Amino acid sequence: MNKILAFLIILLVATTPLLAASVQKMDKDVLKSLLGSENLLILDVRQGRDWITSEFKIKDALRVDDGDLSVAKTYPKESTFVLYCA
Amino acid sequence: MTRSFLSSAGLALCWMLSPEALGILGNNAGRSGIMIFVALTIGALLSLFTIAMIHDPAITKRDSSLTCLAAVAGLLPAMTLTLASRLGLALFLPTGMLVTAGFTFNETFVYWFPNFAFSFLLLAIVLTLHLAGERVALLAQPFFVGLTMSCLVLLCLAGLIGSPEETWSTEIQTGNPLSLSLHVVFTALLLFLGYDQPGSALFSGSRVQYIVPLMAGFILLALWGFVSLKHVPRAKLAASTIPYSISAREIFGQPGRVIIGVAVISGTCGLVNGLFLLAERSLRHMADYISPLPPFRAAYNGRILPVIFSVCIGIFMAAGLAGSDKLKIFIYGALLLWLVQVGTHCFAAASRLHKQQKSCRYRYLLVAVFPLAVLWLACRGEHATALVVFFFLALAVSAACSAGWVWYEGKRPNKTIQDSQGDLP
Repeated sequence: MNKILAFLIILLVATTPLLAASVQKMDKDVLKSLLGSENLLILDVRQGRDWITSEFKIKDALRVDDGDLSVAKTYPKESTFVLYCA
Repeated sequence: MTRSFLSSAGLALCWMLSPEALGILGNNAGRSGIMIFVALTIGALLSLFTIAMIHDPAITKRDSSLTCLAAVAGLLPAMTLTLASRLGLALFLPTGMLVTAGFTFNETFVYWFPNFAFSFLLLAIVLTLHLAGERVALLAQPFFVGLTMSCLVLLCLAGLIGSPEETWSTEIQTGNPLSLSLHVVFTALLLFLGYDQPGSALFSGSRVQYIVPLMAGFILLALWGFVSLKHVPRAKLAASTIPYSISAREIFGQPGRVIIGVAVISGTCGLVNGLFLLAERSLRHMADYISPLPPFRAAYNGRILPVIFSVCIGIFMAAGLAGSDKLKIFIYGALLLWLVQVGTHCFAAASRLHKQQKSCRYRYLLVAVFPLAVLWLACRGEHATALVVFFFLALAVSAACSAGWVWYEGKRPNKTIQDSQGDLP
């Protein structure tokens, strides 16, 4: 039983970064260089107090309510979509 | 004696100087401009009259908040209201404030340190103080509140000396002036809460321990409102979710950000510590009154309550309550329940004083202000329906717990519960 549990934990730990890797991460310098360019959509997906009490709010970022990303559909597929979550 | 006075003052000021209160003040200063000073003055005066009434020596020498309420409304309603107001405050306000402090630390001081880890660290520090005993938690309170006050005084002085780039006379669209004025006055009443906490036994019968912190808080909030309006355009203050940070940055630049960061973190510690003490003392008093425990059991219970509060807050934070808009409603609902509790206490005190032939008409006028304020603030908010649901749920859960408690104690010979069928002393 313990071996099965250990195997499941190792599997979970090993696969989580792989799943997360499908979404590219962008550092602030890259984003800064893209600011103002056409077809860039920044979605601020922070909710509640995470957004309210944060001092850092990117200018022109669209605030998304309850994970509703439908606004992205109005942009061309070639656009760069940046999700700001923390 | 000085230490005891400072602890009492620290408890009375814990909400007044918290980041949430500063945020409410900043938004309302932006919306109402110079009217905020009139509202703060009226709010402070009403609070002063309330202190005079609920801490009247003729009442405090024989009644506590609970016994005073129970004598007028009955034991079960008194327990229900006390439980609902104290537990709401001890659970939801700390959850929000700790998350705020976590973000402030992450964004102002150490970028790589996770904000949630810092929130949990602060919670662990406050819990440790309470596990060390009530005396230690009381000793820490003046330090937390004193540090917050020092930071705000420093920024106020810098704001008074410095000259702003923009004037504070910028007009904004605010809607109906009468409606706005009422809203700001009632909000000011909410800002000065904290004077209903049980005072130090050393100052028994004296109202100075409540009046001095109220006056200090009034002066500091008025000064902070003044420098905020002097340095930040009204529209920006009204719309911001963190008006205190914007004011500090405009007043003093990067050092201002750091100073307000310290004020937010120490203010959060003061608030969490203060509300834990307030809830813990109220519940312990309730337990002592209904089911007196031997001293060692009482000490044990005094330590178990902060553990329960901390576990609940930890679960709320881990479950992402802070990321939900519901937390805003819960916090506002808990604050309004606090106002309901103080208003009812005020009514009970007026009634008790009337019975003792100390009749004075202003007392009943003052009592009428509280339900008006609660109704106004609840109905004019953007989440009126959700707030009403929160009220009913909080009161229903507290009523069920109180009824269960009274039923359990009623099975044993208990003089308090038998007396409560009639008029309490």
